[in-house]
Amino acid sequence: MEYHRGGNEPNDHAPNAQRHRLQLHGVQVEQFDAGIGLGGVADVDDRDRWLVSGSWGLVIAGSCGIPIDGCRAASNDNPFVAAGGPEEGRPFELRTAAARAPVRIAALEANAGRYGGRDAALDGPGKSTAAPRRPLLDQHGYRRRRRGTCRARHRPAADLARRPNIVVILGDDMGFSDMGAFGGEINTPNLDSLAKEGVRFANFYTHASCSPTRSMLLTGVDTHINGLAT
Amino acid sequence: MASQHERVDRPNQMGLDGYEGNLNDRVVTLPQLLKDTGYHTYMVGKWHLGKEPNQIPAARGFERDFTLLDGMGSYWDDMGFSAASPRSLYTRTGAT
Repeated sequence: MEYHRGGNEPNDHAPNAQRHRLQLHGVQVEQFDAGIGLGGVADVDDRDRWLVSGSWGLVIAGSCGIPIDGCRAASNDNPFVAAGGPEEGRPFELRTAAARAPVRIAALEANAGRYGGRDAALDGPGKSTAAPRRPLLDQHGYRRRRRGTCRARHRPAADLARRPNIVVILGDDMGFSDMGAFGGEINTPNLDSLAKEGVRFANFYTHASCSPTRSMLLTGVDTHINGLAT
Repeated sequence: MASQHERVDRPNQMGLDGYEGNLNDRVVTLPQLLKDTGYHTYMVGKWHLGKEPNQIPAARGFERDFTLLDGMGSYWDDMGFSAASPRSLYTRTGAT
């Protein structure tokens, strides 16, 4: 699988990539790229297809133009085609992909209510069909967090036991290519094994310096909103 | 509170929303959300996102922490890198 640095360069194996302008049922791919990995599970099937269940919901992405019903892919060459998300009111559409990888899809579907999306995670499968609320915008047009409404409700202990443990390890000011798994010359066998067994992000957005990076990772909003603007 | 930090805001940035120099009170942190849903939340390491009592990890969603509050401090000899914070300042679960 090819990897490239964050930014707008086309992916090596998808030169016509338009992922940056692609809307996934109203969810920007950029947000998807930045949002997965936090509490999500992911699986790389092969070079051409990713099956990811992340904090934005279950998303199927590939460079081979797998047609997914309801997906607003820009073209068949688009590297990212995606199923619907929780905000769409129909959590996931997997019909075409299910024919290709039925076992894997079934497993991800079974997990989708637990891991897929904030609403689905809170309400469980089948209860996330409420119409999306109109986003609050600040004076600059950015979406604002609705105070209080994003707070999750407490769930019974039986549900808590099923949740994954989440460990975030942040290498402060670390260069993209310092790790062996990303082509670095430094021997990092343990990190490499994590990368080998997991998912390496092919496209991501971050900040070049330390405090803004941590602030955005902690809050999910731009550093100019959370107070660490530079 | 930007003056606490080793940051240099430009005159046109001083006092503006977003340039506070610490995690401001208009955002919610991921650990806070996780804690609200029943997760236990811990952290260890560097913070450098505010040193006031309402800005430290214990106030922003972490149940327990062992934190180097400053940036550019040394873990080995407790020496800060710059004159702004000559000694490394740690907190353990909110206590300095």
